[in-house]
Amino acid sequence: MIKKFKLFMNPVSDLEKWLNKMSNEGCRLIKAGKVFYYFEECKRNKYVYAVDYVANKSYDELSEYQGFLEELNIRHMEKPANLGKLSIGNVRWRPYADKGARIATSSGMINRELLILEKENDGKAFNIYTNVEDKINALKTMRKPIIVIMAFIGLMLLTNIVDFIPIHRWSFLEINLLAQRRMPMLIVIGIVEVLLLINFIRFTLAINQLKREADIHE
Amino acid sequence: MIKKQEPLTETAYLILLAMLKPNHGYGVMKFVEEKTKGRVVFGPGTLYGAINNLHKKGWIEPCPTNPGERKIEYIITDEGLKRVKEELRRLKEIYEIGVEILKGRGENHDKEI
Repeated sequence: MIKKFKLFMNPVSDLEKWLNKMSNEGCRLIKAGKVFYYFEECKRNKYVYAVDYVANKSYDELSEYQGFLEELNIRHMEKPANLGKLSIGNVRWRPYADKGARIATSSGMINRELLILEKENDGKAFNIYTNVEDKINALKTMRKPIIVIMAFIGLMLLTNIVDFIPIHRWSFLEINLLAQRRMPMLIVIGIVEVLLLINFIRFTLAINQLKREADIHE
Repeated sequence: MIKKQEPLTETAYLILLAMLKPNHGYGVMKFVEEKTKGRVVFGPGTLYGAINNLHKKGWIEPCPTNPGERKIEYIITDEGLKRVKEELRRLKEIYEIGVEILKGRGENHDKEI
């Protein structure tokens, strides 16, 4: 068993690429954790991988989908991703999810954000969504949590930045001292916000590209 | 008066045809791959979504299953069959337009395909 540590900027498409690269090196995925992946050796390129984002599905919907995948001889593994969720104890809130899946409790949906699909390599590309409309919808579902987190973090930054503005001339020094202590934290949050923005732009560009295509192709 | 119908997507059209007899997801996938000689291969997410949508619209319905049978089989409904026939008429119309125009240019497109 091979254990690997890996983080991704885009936990869906980058993970997919990496798993296929690992398969090319003769590694088959056994289990996926938050940041650790467990592989076993196998014939090179025996399997192909695709990653689906399923955090918007309710428990029942996901179970039904998994049953359907089994019918198609596709192996599936759930993978947690720290993507767009607010946790309070064992309850998680996903404001962007479809109705019925917005609140996740420990019994069902926590840690089931991504679904890794594996099938035997038949030489053909392994795409989960094969028409333009589905591809656009899939990207939109993945973009939603980014928008939500960006708004939360943005609000947090904004309320903090207000502290840096001297409202009364005579209290400028005092406020500044208090705010100074929060500077390192604010910089970290600011970097996260920029990274999210980059991802948001990537998704939006991809969606617009597909939309243009949809006018001509099915 | 002719009622205007929304064209079906290739996905919906092919799934409906595959469900003229009871069929499940895997069967539909194989049917479509075989009939289109590998040109159309449905991704699992697309196929799953399309079957669910066609079921919701009432164009296909689940067949009574034998106890212990895991796979859900669907069959086309009367409404679904009506839609397929309408789509066939639409395809025939645009096909004939294409042939007619190309013939006018002295190309016999009928032979080419």
